[in-house]
Amino acid sequence: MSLIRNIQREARFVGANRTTLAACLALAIMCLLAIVLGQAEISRQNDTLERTLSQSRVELGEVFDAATDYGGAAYSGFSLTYNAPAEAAFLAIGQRDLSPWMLRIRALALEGQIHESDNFNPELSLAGRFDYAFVIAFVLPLFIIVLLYDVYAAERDAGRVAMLTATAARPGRVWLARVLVLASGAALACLLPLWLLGLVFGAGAGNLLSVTAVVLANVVFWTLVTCALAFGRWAASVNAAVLTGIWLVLALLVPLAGKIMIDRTVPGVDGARISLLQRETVNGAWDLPKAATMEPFYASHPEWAHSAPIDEPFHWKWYYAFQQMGDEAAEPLSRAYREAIRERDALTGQVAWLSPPVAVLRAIQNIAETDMASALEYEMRIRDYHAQIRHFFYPLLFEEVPFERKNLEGFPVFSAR
Amino acid sequence: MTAILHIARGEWQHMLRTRLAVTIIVMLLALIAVAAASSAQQLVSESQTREAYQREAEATFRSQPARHPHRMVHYGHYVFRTPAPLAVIDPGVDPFTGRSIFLEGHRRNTAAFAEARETSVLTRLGVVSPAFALQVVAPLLLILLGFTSVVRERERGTLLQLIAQGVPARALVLGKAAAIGSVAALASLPLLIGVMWLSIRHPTEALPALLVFAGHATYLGFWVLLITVVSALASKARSALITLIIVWAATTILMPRIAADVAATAVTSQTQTEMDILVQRDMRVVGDSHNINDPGFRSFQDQVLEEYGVDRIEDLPVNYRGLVSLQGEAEGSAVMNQYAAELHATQRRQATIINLFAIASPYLAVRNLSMRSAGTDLINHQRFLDAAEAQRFELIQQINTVHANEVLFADDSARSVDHESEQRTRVSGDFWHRLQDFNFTPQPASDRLLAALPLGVVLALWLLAATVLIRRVARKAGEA
Amino acid sequence: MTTPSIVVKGLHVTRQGQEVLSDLNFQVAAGEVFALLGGNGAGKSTTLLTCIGMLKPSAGSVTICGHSAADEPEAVRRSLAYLSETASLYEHLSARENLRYFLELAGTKPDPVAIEQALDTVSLQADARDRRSAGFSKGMRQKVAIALALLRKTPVLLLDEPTSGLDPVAVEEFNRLLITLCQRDVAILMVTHDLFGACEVSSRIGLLRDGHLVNQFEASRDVNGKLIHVDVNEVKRSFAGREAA
Repeated sequence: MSLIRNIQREARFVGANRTTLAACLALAIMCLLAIVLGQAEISRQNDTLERTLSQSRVELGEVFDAATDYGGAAYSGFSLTYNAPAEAAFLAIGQRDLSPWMLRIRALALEGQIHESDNFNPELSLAGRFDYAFVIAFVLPLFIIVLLYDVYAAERDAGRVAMLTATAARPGRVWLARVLVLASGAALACLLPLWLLGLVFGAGAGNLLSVTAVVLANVVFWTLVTCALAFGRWAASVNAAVLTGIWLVLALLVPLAGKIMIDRTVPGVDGARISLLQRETVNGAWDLPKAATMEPFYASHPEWAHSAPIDEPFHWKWYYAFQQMGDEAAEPLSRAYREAIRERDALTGQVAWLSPPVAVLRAIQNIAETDMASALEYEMRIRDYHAQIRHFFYPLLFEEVPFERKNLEGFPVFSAR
Repeated sequence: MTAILHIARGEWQHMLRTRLAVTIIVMLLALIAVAAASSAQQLVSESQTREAYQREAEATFRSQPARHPHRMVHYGHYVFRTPAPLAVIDPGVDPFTGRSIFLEGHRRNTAAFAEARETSVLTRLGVVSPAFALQVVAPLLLILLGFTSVVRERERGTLLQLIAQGVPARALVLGKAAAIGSVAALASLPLLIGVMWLSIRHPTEALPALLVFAGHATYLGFWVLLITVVSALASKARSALITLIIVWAATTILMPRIAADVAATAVTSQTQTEMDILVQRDMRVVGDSHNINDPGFRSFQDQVLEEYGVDRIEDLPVNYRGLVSLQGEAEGSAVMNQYAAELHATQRRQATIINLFAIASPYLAVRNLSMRSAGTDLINHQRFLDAAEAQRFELIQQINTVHANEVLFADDSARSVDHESEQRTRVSGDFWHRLQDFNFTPQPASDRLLAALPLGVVLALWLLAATVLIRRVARKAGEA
Repeated sequence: MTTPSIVVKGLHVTRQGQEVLSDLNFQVAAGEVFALLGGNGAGKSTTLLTCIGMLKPSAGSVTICGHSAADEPEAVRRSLAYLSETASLYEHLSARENLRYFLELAGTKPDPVAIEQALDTVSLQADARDRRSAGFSKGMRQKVAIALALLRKTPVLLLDEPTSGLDPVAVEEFNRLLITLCQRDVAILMVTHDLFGACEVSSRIGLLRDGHLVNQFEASRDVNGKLIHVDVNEVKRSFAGREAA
């Protein structure tokens, strides 16, 4: 008898079991809820972004209109940078409730601005978000365990194994089909809401396919683990207890052990160091002769070396030069900080090999572009944009162009990806 | 009573002879030991680092050379939050909040450099701490340890045998609960030791520490009773286990997240960026205090001239620029504080909604009770932000006062174009010695206890419910 | 007599290092009820599991309808039906659904009319046929399981302790069903420790002890062809004698 016929029969068989159906339904509802709540969060973020963008534009216009010199305009002219949610961001909020996804910056030293955090409610961050990635990584395994832990033991305890074997001739196929049907039930409970709402919320078929692959891989892994025990000789309750223990270790204890390990191997650069150093350099410049700032600045920016010498105690071009030098002084530390974050992220990736739930979270966050890499990429885009702002003002400042409002028209706009 | 002890001893014997149970007990104790050690070690090093940074920042500020006062307003100062003493037990929201704030003129900054973002996927279900081990992991391990306790006797038919021998059903059920409870007690022993040690080191923390312990003890007690009840009601061991795991996952893993999402959806909060823009807009009305001719300060100028009985700002006995700085900072701070107060109120409303979910999840009850008592919750984070703001305002106004009194208006006005005037606007570095130490103290113990009280009541109700249930079950088990 | 449906020859089976069956020999022909009688641990269930091909003999063979149970388990299983001691059905399915499921499992297309007839034959009350089997008594479950054997039209039926836990009325009904099956030329092998029950329905009784047959008794027929049951007392004496030895 073909496997397909076996599967059809087992599907009808499993479908008649109300408890199994209820479990799959509960899982599907959880997925739906997670996606809806995720989408609510992301659309809130999108609304906020839209609102803030227009407010910020108006505000910048006001500042430029009121400006009397370029230095002043650059000083008060904040402009908005943002990390707009990707198509599939609602599947995994990821870093979006920990790392800032909007930041206003101006032409001053960037290291003093870029490490600002948002005002996230820490009690919300503490709980973490109920998003699709969470359901798949942590809840789905529990459902698979519940559906499959007694797939064999129940038959054995009921004394039906011999009868099944005698009736089915090739019982291996029956078990295979039954496990396949149960695992597919769990998979479908996760995938139907994903595709249904995913398409409605515009996640893009490519992303949905990738997430589907992650879901299926997760289902296969936990099905194999569960079956390895379920077809053993242990009692059903022992199987369930051991499987729960395995879940506990893989989902909770391995990640925490990994965290301790990472804290020890890559202690991380204390961020506070960067801003302290940057502040000392920037403020120290006030007390130094102008040449101490301008000479190294012209050395690294020869294109402005021809600029007129500074006689006054204060000149904007000197002011922005030492802002730039402050950033350059903090650069090695700042780079080390980013490297440390990257390295910690890479180590987290290695921990993921030992903890499938972590791997699933990372994979879905990667697809949703809400992972650490995306947060760092946003940081790099802020840096690029800040350089653009600087280079917009430098010609005006160093060529000492007389102030005209229209010269501010070409102010660079932050490009969303 | 002896019957209860006999049953409990029997259950202990069973646990010690079962490989699974022994593994679980060892795992539980090891986990708590590791969590306590790692948490204590991290906290000590963190405290030392932040303390050192704080002293260093203060020393740096005080050693600044002679400068124009407004330069010091922009030079600013850093404050670092040292963890609360009870953070060893329950770090609460600490990993999710910034650890330092830059204090400068004209701006109320946010706390920067939160720890959590760097390895966030690893800590999504909790951070390593004794509180996490007891609140999340211990109940699950107790479930694995105790789900068979009563139902096993029923499945093997020994239940009837025991009752036929005259063992009261009550003693049977309570004896099983006592056995599981003793493992729970063993697991919470390190917490008790920690609490006592902390109470000796920080006598003011004794009461909150005791409440933290009482909360965890109540919580574990609830689970012990619930596990026994479910085991006594179930007809099969596996259905007992599945029921308990579902209850655990729903209350411990799902509910906190659903609560957070509901809170975020029900009470929307403004992002920092939005607030910054609004503050900037309102500040335009206040006026730019760098520019004494800003229309925002026109009426202030009239008021000052009238007060001193002079016609021109040049004739004032004090530096008008300094006065504008003082006025601008005062008005600006009022604006910023208003937004901050709104944000804090919003966040507290969100926290209140999460608190309400404690009615549906004993985990939320104990988690919030513990961090409220420990002083590692949102309220104390906001308190830190407010304390930093108070320090900022005081410092900036101190410097602005120096600006008004110690710098001549004429020099101040010419300082951007005339070197000699600029030199004369620099005031002695001695003024920077006036910087006050930043000493942030968590909420007083009494306030924390008050905040934790409602959660304590909810937790007590959970325990009460479990007690009522187990009495009923004990009676029913006898009838069967 | 044609070739017997079940042929057990020099059977040795070892389970977990212990020889459970040693040199077991018997045959069951079509239309015959052979009862394997024995105490706990005598090897009764092992015999049945070896017949299904779930246990492999270390020596000797089981041949069912010409197929070796060890080498062609699938062919063997197609020609036999097995009734476990608990006769458990799927509790979430009704009697009819259980039949449909097991028939599909056996690769037979379920025919509603045939199912109805089979349930009539085993006389399962009409109101129980569409009810979930969760509340069924063992007797009712057994009826459904026998209906399955009828529907599959297997030439061999294996029964594990069929009468244990049945009330006297149900035993009566069960015995009647066995006779019906015999009339349809089914070879029935039943293992039991119920001496009286065995004597009442069996055409032959084998006394199993320490893994092999120690004695056999045969029912005879009178001149009218009516079955004269095996004498209970005779078996009992043999049983007790061996027990004492």
